Amino acid sequence: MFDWMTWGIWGIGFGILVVWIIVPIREFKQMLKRLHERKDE
Amino acid sequence: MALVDVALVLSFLALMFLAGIYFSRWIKEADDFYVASRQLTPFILAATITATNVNMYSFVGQAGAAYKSGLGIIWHTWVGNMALVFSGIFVVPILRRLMIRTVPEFLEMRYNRHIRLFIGLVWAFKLCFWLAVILMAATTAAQGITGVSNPWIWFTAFAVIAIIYSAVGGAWAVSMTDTIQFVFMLGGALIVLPVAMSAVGWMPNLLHTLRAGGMSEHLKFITQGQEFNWLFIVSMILLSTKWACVDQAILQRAFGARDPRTVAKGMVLSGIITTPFAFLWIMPALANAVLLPGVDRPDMVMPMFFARYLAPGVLGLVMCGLLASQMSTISADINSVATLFTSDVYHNIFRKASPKHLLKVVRGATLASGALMILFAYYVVSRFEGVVQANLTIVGIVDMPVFVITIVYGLFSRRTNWQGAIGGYILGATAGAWCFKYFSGNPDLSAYPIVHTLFGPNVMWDQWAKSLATLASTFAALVGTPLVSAFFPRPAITKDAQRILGAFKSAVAATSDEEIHLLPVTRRGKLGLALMAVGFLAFLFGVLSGSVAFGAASQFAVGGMLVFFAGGLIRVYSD
Repeated sequence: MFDWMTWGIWGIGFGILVVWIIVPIREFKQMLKRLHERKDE
Repeated sequence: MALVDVALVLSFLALMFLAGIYFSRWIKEADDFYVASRQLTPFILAATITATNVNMYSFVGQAGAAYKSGLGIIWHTWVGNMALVFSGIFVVPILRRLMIRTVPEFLEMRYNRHIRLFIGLVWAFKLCFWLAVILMAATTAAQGITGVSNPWIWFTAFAVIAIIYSAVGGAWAVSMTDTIQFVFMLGGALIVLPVAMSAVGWMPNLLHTLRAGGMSEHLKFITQGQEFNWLFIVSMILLSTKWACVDQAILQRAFGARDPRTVAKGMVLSGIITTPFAFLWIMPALANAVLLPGVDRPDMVMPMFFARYLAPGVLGLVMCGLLASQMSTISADINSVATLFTSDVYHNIFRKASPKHLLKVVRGATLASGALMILFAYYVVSRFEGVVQANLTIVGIVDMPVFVITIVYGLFSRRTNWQGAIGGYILGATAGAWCFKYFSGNPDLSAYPIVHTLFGPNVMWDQWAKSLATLASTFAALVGTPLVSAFFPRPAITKDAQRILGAFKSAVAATSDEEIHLLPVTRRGKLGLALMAVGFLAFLFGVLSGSVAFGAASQFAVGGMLVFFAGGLIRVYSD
């Protein structure tokens, strides 16, 4: 019998992991761009 | 540990060291070191708050508590998450507008510099104690996994790299490495869960075995008579609200946000993602109640599980996750201790010190607090049974009065003067300490019928001494602060007091996208707020009804919490 509870929790955790790899990388790139623009000013 | 595991761990440590050192080039002035130039974005902020919050105290200490006493300990995390959502929307954005670096700095604005100095010193030492607690948790785990029992080896391995990059790269190094460490931490936990559950025959067999073995109470979220029962949750509501509103490590991360709206988003997201995350250390602990029964020291259960059930290579990856959880907290808290000492103690005394000199002082303070952490771990914390107990005992007595004088009366009462703040703090801490001592002695209160109704038969008061001490210290500070204030003159309206009022008015007006309204004006914002209120009331009903063993107490509490989170998310993405 498939353990929906365990794999459901695991799936939510995995989803959070994927989002928190992709979005912070994007935010970091935008942050670097903003900091370089401030330095040039 | 196999060679592949050692190689994985050393590679991870090297990566963290290099990543942390890289950000030293971003430190040009004080705010770069203290608050990452106030440039942090929502998801990075959420990751760093979560990484600061979750550490081996969770994976080893709380898991050990779940092994021994069941699901109830999960509320230690869940109530904290609810408090993060509350504080992120209603409290911390106001503090962020003041452009402060520490909470004692706010206390000087509100009262005077003597209170700032006093609280700064108390907190610097208290944080060092907390660091010692989590260092001890990590050392216990490492001893169990590897069999290397010399604690000094582990104190050095866990602490040195974090201390170095924190001293060199400040809040930038801490925040960015925290974001990487969050990924490793979550990844490691996602490996452990299916290994533990498959070993025990998955959830249906775990539930069946625990029930058949007379451990049904382990599976209840809200209990009447267990160690982490409804009363524990009530005390956690107080402690968690305090923590989310005035904990320097969390707030210093939040002060690094680029604007008040980012503070709200980051804290709410952190609260929400940590909620399912908690299952990743609680469920394996419950599985180990079946796999490894009869372990005397609950803190040793998860290390034993890792050593026995994780294959070479897999163990190395999980160890990286554990190291990540530890380093993220140590680096953040050490950054906070150093900031507290430099900003609230040293600069408070030597007001003419130059920014360049203060940067040297804060780096020195980082190294010194690391040394103090290690000494506390070896000579003090090792004498308490279990790291959960050690932390909750100290925090319950000392911390609640600070929350009362800072947030309750500091933000919301203009009549409270500095004499009332000091008096309230002393009364609160004294009441908490007395209460803890009294109930630790297991007094016989069986003559009182209400005791039987609320706590069931055969009450062991010593296991609730911490929770009762928290309630006592809070109540005494709430009553004592205005009482003492009444004997002294009303405080003068200073420029700083007007700044605090201005921050409030901005929170109410909130005229730009970078702000968040204290009270919502749009329909969506009002819906979010309504859901938060309804959710919290349902949660509270569930918790309090646990005192009379109400059958649906758990459902109300968990359901209410989920509605509260939904409301918080809607609120923070509205006006």
